[in-house]
Amino acid sequence: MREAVGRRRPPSGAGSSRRSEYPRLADFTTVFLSILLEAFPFVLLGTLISSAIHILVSAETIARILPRSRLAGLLAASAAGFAFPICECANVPVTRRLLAKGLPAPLAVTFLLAVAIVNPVVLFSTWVAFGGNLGVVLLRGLLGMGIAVLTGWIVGSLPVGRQPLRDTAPGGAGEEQGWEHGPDHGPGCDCGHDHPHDHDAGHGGNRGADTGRAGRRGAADAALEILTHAGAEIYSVGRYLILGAAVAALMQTILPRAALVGVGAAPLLSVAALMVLAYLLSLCSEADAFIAATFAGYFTPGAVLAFMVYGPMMDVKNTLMLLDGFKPRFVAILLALVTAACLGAGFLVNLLASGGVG
Amino acid sequence: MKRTRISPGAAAWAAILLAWSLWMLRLLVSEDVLLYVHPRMRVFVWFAVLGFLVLSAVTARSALGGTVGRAPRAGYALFLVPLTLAVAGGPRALGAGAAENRLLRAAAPGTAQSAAPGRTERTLDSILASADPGTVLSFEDDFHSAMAADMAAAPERYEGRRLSLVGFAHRVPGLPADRVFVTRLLITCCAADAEPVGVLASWPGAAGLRGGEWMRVTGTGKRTAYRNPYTGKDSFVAMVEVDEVVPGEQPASAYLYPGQF
Repeated sequence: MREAVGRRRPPSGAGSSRRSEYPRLADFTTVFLSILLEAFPFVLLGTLISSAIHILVSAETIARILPRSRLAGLLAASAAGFAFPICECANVPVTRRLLAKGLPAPLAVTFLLAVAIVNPVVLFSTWVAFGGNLGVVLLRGLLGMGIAVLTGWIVGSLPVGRQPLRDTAPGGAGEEQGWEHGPDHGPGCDCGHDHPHDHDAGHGGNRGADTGRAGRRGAADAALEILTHAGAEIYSVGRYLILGAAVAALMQTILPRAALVGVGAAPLLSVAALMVLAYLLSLCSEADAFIAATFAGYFTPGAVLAFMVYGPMMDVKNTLMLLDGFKPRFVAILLALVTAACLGAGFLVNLLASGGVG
Repeated sequence: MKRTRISPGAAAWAAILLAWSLWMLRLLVSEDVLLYVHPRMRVFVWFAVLGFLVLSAVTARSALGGTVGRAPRAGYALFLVPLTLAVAGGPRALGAGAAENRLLRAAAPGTAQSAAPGRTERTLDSILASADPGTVLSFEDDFHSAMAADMAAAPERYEGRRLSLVGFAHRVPGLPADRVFVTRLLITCCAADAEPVGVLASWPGAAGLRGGEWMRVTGTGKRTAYRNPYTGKDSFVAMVEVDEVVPGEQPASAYLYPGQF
């Protein structure tokens, strides 16, 4: 047995090898900053897309492209991630804007819930994380679509689903015509602009109802309006992202995951335990499958699937971001519906896996 | 002469966006960004740097026009909190203590892969096939986590082989005093998803180690019984019977990053 003299090489990054007097605070800070560094590029992308929709897409266009059949619309919304692979940070501002433009709430909710799961990047990472197990990939995708469609359908039949946005006038496609500021963007909105009632204020109020005007002023003006609006919107969404990231980082720092393993074999409790964990950890849907894979030896299959379906749909971070633009009552009902659906689906998977059904 | 009205609120917001942009730029230039995110995320952080810079410029232009929010908002302070923490604490990797809250990957054999399936297995197979029994197999970062997982899943492939790896000491409940997991943290997207990847190692001196101490261990692979501390299930894993320890050696990279896909 030899004990050699240490050759010390610092890890990449100056100062990273320094020991902190407060290691938990240091770890909290690292996780907090890492979530923000990972999420802000996508939130920025989401606000740019949202602002582009706001400035360039009219409510009439939305109305024109909507499928006539409700089921077809819901299915299309649930699969939109294949054409539009955005994550659970970018989808909140985009969904909010689509709703404000008159996209019916059932479709918007379905899109919001499904897009961070049913997209090629997330499904591929799931395939990699589970060693090429296509069954897990298919189950995750199908459960994600199914729960998103079901929740969207139910929300559409509830009174709160007719007007889910805060401080807005009824917003059906086409009802925006004549608005200088869209229903989500006007005096009293929280985007950071002043909103003089002079409808010719040239800072980029809603131009969606009047695409011709944007066209006349040229692409440069439209781009400037989009950027001006995005600069304000990133404040609106970003402050909730920062709060959510702080809560998630705190949970990452203090919550011992091994404590949950005790209920890992219970068909219902294991599902609930991993759903709570998914909610609190607020992981990116691209990465959560790798964490879920480490649970596979300890928790029921339904619990592992629920972790991968529930987390991208609902977590601390996006709940706070939703509260920025949506009515609290709507967010509470959405949270309750998705929670019940994921809990039920995870439990059902466990019953099927153990032969308890059929 | 017309006087330009400057909006303090917009000016403050432009300054905050600029500060965020500069902070992210500094992390990218110094490579410290890798203490927080996977290398493949760098392109997205670059996008955020450029995006925030542009938004800052556009907001500053609006501030000069006096058309954007007159007074700074209270919420702007929230954006200063992360920047203050970042500047006060300096760039830091997650400490070994982060492993305490997380489930050790090697303790759940065969549950995870670290790169595209097939490719990793072929790489590991070729490495194991080409190495003579006396050659020291060093755990390179590219396949460290895959090899650690393989040692738990197929311990017989490592019996009698010379193995060498760097990591920090990590103990799990129920482990005998002369055994530790030589552990690295693996991140897939960012430090929030860090997972400890451990290889079981045994030598008498391990009893005196404090958790979190970095070292390089070299020894011989041996198949041994292992009771999973979380589930109580027994299995066999490959363990390194250590005959050489280099205390204090740290890896060049703070974390392991699974293959880019």
